[in-house]
Amino acid sequence: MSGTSSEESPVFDGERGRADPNEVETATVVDFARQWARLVIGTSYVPMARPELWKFLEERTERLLAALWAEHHDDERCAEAAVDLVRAHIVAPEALRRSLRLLGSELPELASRLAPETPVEPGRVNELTASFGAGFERAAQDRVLAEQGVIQQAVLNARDAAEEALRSSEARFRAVFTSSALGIAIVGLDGVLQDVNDSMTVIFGIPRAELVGRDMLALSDSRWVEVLREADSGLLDESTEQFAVDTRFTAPDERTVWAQVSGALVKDSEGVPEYQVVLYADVTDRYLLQEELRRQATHDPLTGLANRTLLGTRMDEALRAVPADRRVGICYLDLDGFKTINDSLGHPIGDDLLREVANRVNALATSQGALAARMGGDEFVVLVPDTDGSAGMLRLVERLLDEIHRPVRIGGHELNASASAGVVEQPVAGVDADQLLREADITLYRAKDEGKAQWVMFDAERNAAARRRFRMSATMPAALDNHEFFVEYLPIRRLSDGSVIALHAAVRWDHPEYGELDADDFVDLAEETGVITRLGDWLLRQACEHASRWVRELGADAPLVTVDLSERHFRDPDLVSRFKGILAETQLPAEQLRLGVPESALFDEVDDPVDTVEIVRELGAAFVVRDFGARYTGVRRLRELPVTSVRISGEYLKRLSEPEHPDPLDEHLVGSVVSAAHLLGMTVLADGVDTARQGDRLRAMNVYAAQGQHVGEPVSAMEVGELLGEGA
Amino acid sequence: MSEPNRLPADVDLEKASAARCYDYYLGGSHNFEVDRELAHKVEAQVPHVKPLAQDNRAFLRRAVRYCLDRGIRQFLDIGSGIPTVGNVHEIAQAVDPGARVLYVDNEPVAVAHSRTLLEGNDQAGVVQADLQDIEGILGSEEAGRLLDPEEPIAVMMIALLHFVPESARPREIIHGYHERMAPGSFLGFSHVTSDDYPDYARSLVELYAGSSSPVIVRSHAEVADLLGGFDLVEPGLVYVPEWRPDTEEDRWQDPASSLVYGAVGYKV
Repeated sequence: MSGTSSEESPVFDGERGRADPNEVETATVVDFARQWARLVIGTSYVPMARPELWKFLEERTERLLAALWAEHHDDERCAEAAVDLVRAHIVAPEALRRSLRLLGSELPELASRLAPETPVEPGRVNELTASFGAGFERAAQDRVLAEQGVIQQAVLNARDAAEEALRSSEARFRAVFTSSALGIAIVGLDGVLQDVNDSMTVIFGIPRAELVGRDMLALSDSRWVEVLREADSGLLDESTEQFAVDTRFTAPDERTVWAQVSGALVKDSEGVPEYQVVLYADVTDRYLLQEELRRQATHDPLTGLANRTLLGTRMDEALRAVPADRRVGICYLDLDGFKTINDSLGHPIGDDLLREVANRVNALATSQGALAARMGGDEFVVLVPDTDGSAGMLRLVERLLDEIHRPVRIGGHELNASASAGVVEQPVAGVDADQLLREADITLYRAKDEGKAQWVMFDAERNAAARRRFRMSATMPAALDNHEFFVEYLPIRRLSDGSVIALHAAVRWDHPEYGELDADDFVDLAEETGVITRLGDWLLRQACEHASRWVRELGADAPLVTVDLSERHFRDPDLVSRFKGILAETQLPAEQLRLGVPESALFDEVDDPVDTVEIVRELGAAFVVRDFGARYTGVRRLRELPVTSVRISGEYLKRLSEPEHPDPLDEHLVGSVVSAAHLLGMTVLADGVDTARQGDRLRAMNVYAAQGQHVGEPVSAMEVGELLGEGA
Repeated sequence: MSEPNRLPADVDLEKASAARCYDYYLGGSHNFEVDRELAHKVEAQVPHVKPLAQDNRAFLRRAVRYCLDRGIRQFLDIGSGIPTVGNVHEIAQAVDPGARVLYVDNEPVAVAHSRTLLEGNDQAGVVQADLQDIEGILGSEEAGRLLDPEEPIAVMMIALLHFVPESARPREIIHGYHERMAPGSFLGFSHVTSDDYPDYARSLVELYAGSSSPVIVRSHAEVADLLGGFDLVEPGLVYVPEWRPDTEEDRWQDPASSLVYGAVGYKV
C-alpha cells in the first residue's frame, strides 16, 4: 500500500495550524495529541470528527506516558496503544512512520516536562517505539488479512448468488419454455429463430428442425409481415419495451393460424441486447368464432348468403343519391316448382338444391360487384349497385337464370331447376329500399304468371319491346358469327322500259326466334349498340363480292349495286381503309358501286363535305342520297359531290298508289324533288313502289327508276343471273 | 433483478470496481489487484485522491450527524459501496441505537460485503438495485421492514450521481425520490466537478472509463439543477471541506482541490 504524504501534497493542507516550534515548552498532552492527529489525518479515513480524534489520541498519549514512567518496559501496554490506532482505522504505514517519529522525538520531552522528578531511562523510548511499531504492524496485518478474507468471501457469496439467480432464472425459464401452451421462440437480433418449444411445432404444424433457422417474419402471411416488422424493429431499437400484434399464418396443411405475437428484448447484465423472446398465442379459435358471430348476424345459415339485414344495409348504401345520376338494379328470383321438388324428393334434397343455387347466384353476383341475398324459402334477391341502364342489368339477369338452369346433381338426382325473375332497374333518386323490393316482387309474380323461367322488367308497358330489342342487340354479334344474316337484292328498274339498271343490296336476319327480319327491324338497334360497324362491313363485303362476280360473268351487262350505309358506319374513321381493302380483295371496280347514305352524313357540322366523300370519288364509286329533300340548305352543294342519284321514299309515295286522283300536294312534293334533282344533274329513284299505279304515276312525273314489289321481289345473289336473263 | 428482461449479473473481477477503489483510498483492504492498479493510476494523475476521498467520507459523516441532529432516525444510503469504516449505521446507531439504515448498491460484491458486515444488526439491511429502480428499492422487503414512508428520512447519494449519465435522466430519478420522501426529509449529496481543476476531473473521467462505473463530471450549475426540488441547508452547495467543518483546521487551504461539491437538501 503506498501512502501519500500530506506534507508533500501541493494542494492538501491537512496540517494547517501546525504548532509553532517556539511554543513547544508550553506543550501539554492536549497539544501533543493535536499534533499527532494532524500527522495521521489524511493517511487513511478515520471515522471520527477531529475533536473526537484529539480525545482518542490524548488517552493513548497518557497511556504511553505511563508506560514510559513505569519501572519496567511493558511491551503489551505499548503495543496495545498501537492496536487501538489500527482499530480506529489509523492503518497506513505512513501513519506509523509519522507516529513513531513523533513518539521518538517528542514523547520523552513531554514526559520530562510533565514529570521532571521522574526521569525517563535512556533506551526506554526506543523500547516503547519498537513495541508500538510491532503492535501496529501486527494489528494492521491482521486487519488487512481480515478484510481480504471478508472481501473474498463477499465475492464468493456474490458469485453464488449470481449463479443461483442465473440457475434459478434459467430453470424457471426452461420450465416455462417446455411446458407452456404458448409458442415460445428464442429469436436472434437478426430475426432468426434460434430455439423453439414444442408448442411452436403444434401451433404452426412445422417440425422443430424446420422452424429453427427460419426468419421470424416468415411465420406470418405477407399481409401481416409489415406490421410485425415494424413492431419488432421498435423493440430492437429500444423505442418500445415490448410489442404485441396479431398475425395470420397459413400453415403447410393450409390451416389458417391466427397468432397473437408478443416479443421482448433480453439484455445482458450490462444492458446490451442479447436476443429476443417471442411468444405466440394461438388465437385462431377466437378469431374464427368472432368471424362466425359476425357472419351469423348478417348471413343466412343455410346458404351462407347475405340475409335481409345485410341486404337492407347494402341497399341503403346503394340508394344513397350521390352522385345524383346513380342507378340501381334489383333482381327478385324465385325457383320454379321448388315445392314440388321438396315434396317429391324431400327437404334434405331441397336444401341441397337451395345451397347449390345460392352458390351459383352468389359466385356470379360477386364477380359483378353485386350482392346476393336469400329472402327466405326459395326466394333470392340480387342487388346491383350503380347499374348503367337496363341492358346491362338484363344481361346479368339472363346469366343468373342460365346459371340456375344448368343441371344440378344431388344425391344421384339430376335436377333441372329454373327460376323466374322480377327486375327493376332505375335511377336511385326518390326510391326507397322497401318500394324497390316490392316492385321487384310484384314483377316477379307477373313473370311467374307469364309462364315461368323468364324475367319480367318492372316497366310493363315497354316490357315487350325492351325485351325484344335487348335480345336482338345481345345476340347480334353471335348472329353474325353464326351466319344468320344474309343479303337479298332488290331489282331497280328503269320506269321507261322496265329494264334492271341496278340491284339494291338489302341485309336480312334469319332470327331463330323471330323469323326473318327486315333491316328496319334491327339496323337502328345495331346503330345504338355499335354492332353496326361489323354488320355494315359485312354487308359491304358481301355486296362487293357478288357484284365482282357479276362483273366477271356479265361484263358490261353487270348491274350497278347500291348498298346503304348507316350514318354511324359511314362516319367511322376506319371505314375508308376497310372499304379500300374490300375493293382490293373482291377486285370490284368501284364504279359498279353506289353507296346509299343520308344527306346529313355527307356533311360535317359546318356543312363541309366529310373527307370520306372525296376518297370515295377518287376510288370511282358514287353516292345515292337516301333521304333527299329532308333538308334543303345543303342541297346546292350536292352538285359538287359524286352523287349520281337521289332516292325518295315515304308516305307521300305510298299514297300515289291510291285509285283516286293523287293528292296535289303529294304530286307537288314529288315534282319539286324531281326538278331539284334534275337541276343538280341527278336521277331520281323511288323506293317502295308496290303497285303498277304508283309506277305509272311516278314515271309520269319523270322519276327515272324504282324498286319495290311492283318492280320485283327481292332475290338471292344466286338468283340474280336468272333475274337479269329474264329481263334481257 | 433491477430491470426486467436483463440477465442476472455475473461477478466480474476482471474490471476494477469504483467501490473497491474508494475503499482503497480510505485505507481499506477490501480490494483486489485490479482495483489497486486503477487506484495507483489515479494517484499518479490526482496525487491527493486519498485525502479527497477521505474528505468526501467525512462529509458523509457530517451530513449524517446533521440529519441526526435534526431528528432523523431512518436512512437510505444509495451507492453505499464497500463499507470499510464510518458507515451510516455506525454513525447513526452511535447516536441512537434505534436508528434504521437501508443500504443500496447495484454491485453484487458490495452487496454481499454489506450483508456480511450487517450480520446480527437487525436495524440495518441491504438491497441490490440500481438507483433508478425506485419502486424496487422502496417496495423491497427490507425497505418494508426498516423504513416508514410516513416518517422523514435522510436519503444519502454520496459520490453517486457522477456515475449516472444524462441519458439515464438523473433529474427525474432524484425527483422520483423527492416525491416519495415525507416532508421534513433530507437528501445528502456529493458529486465530482470539473469547475476549478478540469485536468484532475478529466483524469478521473478517463481512468474510470474502463471501470464498471464510468464517471461523468458536472458543473456547479448542473449539480444545483439536479437538486432543484430541495431547499439546500446552509451553506448550500459548496466544496465538501467547506460544508460545516468540524473544526477550523478541517477547512482546506484550497477547498476547490477537493473536486467534490456537497450539499444537504431539505424537503419542505
